[in-house]
Amino acid sequence: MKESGRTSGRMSQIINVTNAWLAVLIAIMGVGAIAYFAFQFTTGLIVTGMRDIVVWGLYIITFIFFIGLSAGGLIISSSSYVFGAERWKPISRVATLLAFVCVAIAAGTIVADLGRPDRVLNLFLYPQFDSPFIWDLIIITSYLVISLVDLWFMCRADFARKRSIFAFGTKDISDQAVARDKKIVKAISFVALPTAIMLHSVTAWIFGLQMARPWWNTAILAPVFLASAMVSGLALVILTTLIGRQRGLLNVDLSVLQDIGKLLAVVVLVDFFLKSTELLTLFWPNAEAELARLSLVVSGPFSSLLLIEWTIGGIVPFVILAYPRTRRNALGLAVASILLIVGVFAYRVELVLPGFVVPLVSLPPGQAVGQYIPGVSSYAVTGTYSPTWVEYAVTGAMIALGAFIVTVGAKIVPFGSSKDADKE
Amino acid sequence: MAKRYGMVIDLARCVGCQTCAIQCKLENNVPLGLAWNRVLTMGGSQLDTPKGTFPNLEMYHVPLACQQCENPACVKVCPVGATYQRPDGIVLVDWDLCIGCRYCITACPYGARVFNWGNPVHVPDFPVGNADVSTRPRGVVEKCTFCIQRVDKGLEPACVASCPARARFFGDLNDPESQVSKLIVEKSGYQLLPEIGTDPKVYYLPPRRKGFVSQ
Repeated sequence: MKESGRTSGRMSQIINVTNAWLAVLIAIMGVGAIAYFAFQFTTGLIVTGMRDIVVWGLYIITFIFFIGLSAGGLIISSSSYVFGAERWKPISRVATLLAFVCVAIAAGTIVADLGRPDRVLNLFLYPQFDSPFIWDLIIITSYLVISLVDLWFMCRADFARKRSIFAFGTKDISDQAVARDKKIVKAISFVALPTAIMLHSVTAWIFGLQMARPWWNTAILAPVFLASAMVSGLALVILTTLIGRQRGLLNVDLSVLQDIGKLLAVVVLVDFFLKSTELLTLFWPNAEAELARLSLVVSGPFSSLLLIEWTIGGIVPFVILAYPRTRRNALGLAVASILLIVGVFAYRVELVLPGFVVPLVSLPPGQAVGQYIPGVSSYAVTGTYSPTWVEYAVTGAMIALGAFIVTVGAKIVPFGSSKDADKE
Repeated sequence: MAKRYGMVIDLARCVGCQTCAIQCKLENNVPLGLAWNRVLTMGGSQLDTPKGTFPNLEMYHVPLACQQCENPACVKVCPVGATYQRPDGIVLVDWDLCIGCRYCITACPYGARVFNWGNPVHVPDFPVGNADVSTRPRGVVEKCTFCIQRVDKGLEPACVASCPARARFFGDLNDPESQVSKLIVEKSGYQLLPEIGTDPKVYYLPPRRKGFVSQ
């Protein structure tokens, strides 16, 4: 009696905290919706901080950041099948849900960035297949479908057992049916892993194939995107799983997260190796054009980002993960994960913006920036950019939407006790 | 042989008067804050300023608009085919198809493309210039069209026709006997940023002083 009273007290506490959290998320989404529909949609992208010269800003940064964050998902769940990493199976569901949500958010920010969102269907009606944008659209759509189908087959038997509507009428929970589901999930994994790798590569190629932007135009961009995506993606999975454990939604042994932490440390090394290779290649020849590009991020306006990326977003979390004592406790894992996500975000900013600031032809008076303000020249030789409140609000709403789906999803998707995981 | 329109700009003749920039803006009804055509100063850090110290000063002007590339990066990146190349080589933007992703602006090495961030503003508040140029909506990319509304009627683009220094020439690059083809050969015409591989159809004739060519 006493026991059950305490349990129900704890349950209602969890629900209250969850409701408050959801209310906050809904409020953030509301502000974002107002910013988008009452301002940006009706008056155009003029309400953002973007102008000609720096034509992409926070939306595109958020887009590639979220594409990267999705990496943990299918890579963990697929690896557990493709490479037989059995110990990771308990978190494969939450990882897959995160992957789906992150890619969906990324797709959302792309639409938010369009000058003509009313014509978004043109992408499907008149696709032009030379464009890496269209490749990305294809791979994003495939990824969304694959991760959703994958997730459903992982959970189907549990849904059926609970007679949930999400079983979509399937009732078979015999061992045969469960074995068949498992086979399908395994088959999907073999497709999902290459799809995940392609997702990050294609997103990198949107930038990396542009001859007009030497800062982006490097063959190493796709490998760097893959590595940095895995850094932020694995960090997000660890962080979410820790929160899920804390909230009693996930029954995952900390040792599993330590394993992933170890892998994460290795991926961090690979990521920074690839990035250093790129920086060295720009620095060593001592050539004017390359040095000018490098100076933007080493000593110019973006140098603080480089510092964040390498120190508190790189070396510090790496040491935390590499050092067994800090890796073996939840706090250490959480701190390292947060720092790595911050570091990868800094990298995303540092990739997108410096590509624009100094155009290839930067002679006075420069180019028209796209807006006339009395008393201010409409021309500029170099670009500047700082996001407006509308961009912050819309981006915040996107992130809140993602958190909302994950929170609600945590109630629908049987993340499972250890029992569920065993049966899988 | 099909026509391949090209332009030649003689930097030794250009006086940097900006007439072509203004004429372009009028002819094509280009909104406030946007410019298809601009005249850049090669020299000091400000417009119309030379580099060096007196009397060793150097300066010339580089009029810059869409380079009408033979291998246009903007056409390749456009996800919906709103930016396209006509059979005669002119690169255009379809304002009814453009979704406003601005990918073409990132792909253009010359900064020749401009975007309608808000509703196009005109002062005075009515369309000016050529009646055959349509008004554009908010949220689309625009750029130099080689004045197709004039070229299709057998006229020269507005910037060529209006140049007081007669520094601009327009014609068929496929015809080796055309004025533009001859000028390129005889006066060592060059393209901007040839290393990018876009193969512009706008050629520049070097300014007179030796050792002071291109950027």
